[in-house]
Amino acid sequence: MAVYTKDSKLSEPIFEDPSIVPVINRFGIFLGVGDDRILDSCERKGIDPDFFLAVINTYLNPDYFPERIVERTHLSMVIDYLEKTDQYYSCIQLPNIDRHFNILLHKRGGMEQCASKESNLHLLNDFYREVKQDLETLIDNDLKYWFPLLKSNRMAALEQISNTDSSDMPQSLPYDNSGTEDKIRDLISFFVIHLKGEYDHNLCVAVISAINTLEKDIRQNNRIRDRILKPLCEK
Amino acid sequence: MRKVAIIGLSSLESLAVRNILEEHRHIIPDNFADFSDIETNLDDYDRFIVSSDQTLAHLDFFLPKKSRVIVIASTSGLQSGTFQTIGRNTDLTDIISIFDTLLDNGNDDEKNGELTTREIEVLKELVSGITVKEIADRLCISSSTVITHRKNISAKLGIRSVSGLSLYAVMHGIV
Repeated sequence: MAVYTKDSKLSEPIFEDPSIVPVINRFGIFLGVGDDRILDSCERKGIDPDFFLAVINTYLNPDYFPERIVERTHLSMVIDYLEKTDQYYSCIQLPNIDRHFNILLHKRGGMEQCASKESNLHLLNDFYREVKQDLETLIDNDLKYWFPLLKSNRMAALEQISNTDSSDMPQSLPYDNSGTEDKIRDLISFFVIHLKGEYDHNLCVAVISAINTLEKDIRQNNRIRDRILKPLCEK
Repeated sequence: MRKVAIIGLSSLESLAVRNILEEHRHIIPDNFADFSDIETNLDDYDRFIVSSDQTLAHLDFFLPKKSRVIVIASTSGLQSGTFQTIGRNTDLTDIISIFDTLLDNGNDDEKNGELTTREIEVLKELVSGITVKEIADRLCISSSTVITHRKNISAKLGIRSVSGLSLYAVMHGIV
């Protein structure tokens, strides 16, 4: 898999994997990138190119470990980036799944009616609600606890992270949400392997695509938490 | 030719089942008053017509074979949808159709990689929220065997989280 450099065209990673678009959006860069090199776009937008490359290469490439994430300033940058990621989940991706799931539950075979009696879609929806609640708790912990603490008093945050017995802190660390990742994958498995009864096939594709997009984004951003945020926190 | 066992039915129920099978499918089932009467030669039979009491009492045996079992329901203790069930109000056409399905289906349980009896036991314990060590003690097996079962269950079902396994267990009437 390609590793992008400052001289790479910004359009290259987008062509390789369009799921990178929301990632570059979080830096204030939007589609219509023209023929610019990554360095040109970063300079124009006032973005640290080393940090930008660390994020997009880590996001796209499972084998990539950024080497140039050494500066203290990168901590506030990655926190800003992850805040926008959390907000994207809360404001865009979860409501998108909600919308599609609700329509799927109430429509069957093109006719307005509840999912059939033998369908287990309602149980899958209950499981989705549980996954959503877990994710919202993690987002809440990030936005109300970990990120403000890391920004204002990094040493106090480090003390909290190393003292996992403290009853005041959230149960999960800012770079450990593998449990939620597993549950979202399980939700996809329930659709793929265990779905029963009658349902609208096209709407089901819309739901599973929306869940899959969220799962992929969380998985790839967890690499950013693990390989950029964690070393910066522990430095 | 399918070998059919009738287990735990009243004399009248077993006579009715026997007559229907003989008349419509030319199959003569063997009749057992209790599960213990067939326990030593279970492997000789591949289809089971069982009372709801006997099914509930031996769920570990019948659940993995659910596509090869018909429950004659005189009580309502079973999770609906888990087993094909014949009740007091089922009419004769439906009964014959249910018997046809039972006899014509392949052994789907083995084909689609469903859980073994032991894996179902481990799954039940896992979703009750106890530790691996506690499961090992209860089932008289080692902790590493429990972990191996857990891995196999997750691989077969495509489900890793305890919440997901709990949902699967509810869906399939395991808990």
